[in-house]
Amino acid sequence: MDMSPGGIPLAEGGEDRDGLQLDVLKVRLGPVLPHWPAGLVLHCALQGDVVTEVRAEVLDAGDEGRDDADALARALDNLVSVLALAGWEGAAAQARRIRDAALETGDRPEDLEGLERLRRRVRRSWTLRWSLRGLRPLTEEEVRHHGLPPDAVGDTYDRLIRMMDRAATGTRQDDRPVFRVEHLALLVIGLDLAAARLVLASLDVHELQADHTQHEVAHG
Amino acid sequence: MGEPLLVQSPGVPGSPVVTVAPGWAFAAVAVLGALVVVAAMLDGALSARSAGGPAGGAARPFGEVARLMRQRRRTTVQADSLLWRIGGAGLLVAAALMVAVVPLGRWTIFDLDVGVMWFNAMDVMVWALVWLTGWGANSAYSLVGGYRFLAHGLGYELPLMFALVAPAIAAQSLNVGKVAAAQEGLWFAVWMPVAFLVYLLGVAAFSVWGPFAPALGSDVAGGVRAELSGVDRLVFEAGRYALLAAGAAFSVPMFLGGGAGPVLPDWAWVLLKTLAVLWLLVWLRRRLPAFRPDMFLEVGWLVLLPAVLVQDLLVAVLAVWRT
Repeated sequence: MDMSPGGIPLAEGGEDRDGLQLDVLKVRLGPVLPHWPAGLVLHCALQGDVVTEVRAEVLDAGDEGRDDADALARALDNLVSVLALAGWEGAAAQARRIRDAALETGDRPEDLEGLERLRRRVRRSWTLRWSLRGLRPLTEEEVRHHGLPPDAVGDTYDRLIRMMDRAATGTRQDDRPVFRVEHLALLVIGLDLAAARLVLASLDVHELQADHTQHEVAHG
Repeated sequence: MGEPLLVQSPGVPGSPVVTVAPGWAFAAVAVLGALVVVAAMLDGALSARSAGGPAGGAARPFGEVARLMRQRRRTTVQADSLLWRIGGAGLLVAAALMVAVVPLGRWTIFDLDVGVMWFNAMDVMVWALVWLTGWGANSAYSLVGGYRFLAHGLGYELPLMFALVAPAIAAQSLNVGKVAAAQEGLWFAVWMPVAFLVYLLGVAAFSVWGPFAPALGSDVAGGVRAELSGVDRLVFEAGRYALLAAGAAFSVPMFLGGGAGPVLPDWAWVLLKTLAVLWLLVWLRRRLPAFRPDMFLEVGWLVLLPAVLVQDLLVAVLAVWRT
């Protein structure tokens, strides 16, 4: 019997979380995807759309020099990612417009037109709250254990709101702890793809990424 | 529009609508096509406006059609081409079959005595079509899109069915023309608002539209349509708009009084009301975050289904009381 029709090996069965037989698909996520931390690669095993196994690695990401406008645009970029992954095109387009304006004019966040309006809109949406509430909640202990920044505490909705606040106040977080990629894998196991991507985006991995490579370089 | 050639409707005695000659089906498909174009233009204009770019997004669909027509058709290794194509092209067919039972004022193509069930059967067929499109490509992302659609389907389908039951109970008929005629004076949308809202959600859902679009999500490279290219993609997208338009058109006899309205002829009122509902659905896309497929089942069964069942009960009590 031909076990790899067309050169692709057949998916093998395995017990899923309900104890039923379900095909296991090997899917690689990254290193380049929309709304995805650049350079991050997750080698996933999927059953249906649930991530059952993950191995994470980082492809070398050069550290570009940044200034304050970059930091703000980056924060807004992350916001665009979460909103787009949450399927809210209107708000994502609004955030993208503000981001472009920030890069173009180099304005400080409080001068940016529409940022406050976006913030109110995001906070007011009960469907967004419903869809992100309770998604991969992290306690303070877990955050410490995984080496995440302290503001990753809470669920995905909390993280989004904090990300929003960071963008609105233009806070830079230079004192982020060193981020370890293998912990990321633990955070997305057991989630379906959409949820896994939301959780990753909410962790604001863009900024963590650079720290990690610096760390490697420093010890290399 | 001239007076169509009429044939006597043998099937439904006492039907308020007349069946036109089968050749008029082409006209119905043309109207559906026009609605698809209008919906796509509206969506393009709204997209352009929300992105803050220069005006002129309304012309975007035409550019997109030209692009897709010239794009070379890609295929995947070991794709199940037959089922894949059936799925992609089937949406348009399902939408055309839906509008066959929608009376345009007094005229209908197909005066079926169980027209409401016919519509319902077509929207259930969409399950298979979207799933086949996701499955046939033999690609993990399309497959995930298919799973997402089915997860939504489990949540929206039963509420949608029971939402369609309410007007049928009130009119005491499953004939679409009779349901429209039963709304003399008071539209069903007014005194069964829950059923109307659930119906609109259902239309968005079977068109894989707005909050129900995770099956086509950008996080899975376009989900169900990830591997569709060229004409296949064009037909699939047109099919989604056609389903949206057919759903909007069907809401007119079911909830919005059919062709009833002052001054204008009844067929014009049907078109106007259809356009209004279609506009609402297209506009809605950008306003709401997606309903996550893994969580929507809870909403569908614990909120929508009980709400619409209570609505059905109220409608049934009123219907009995009035006779």
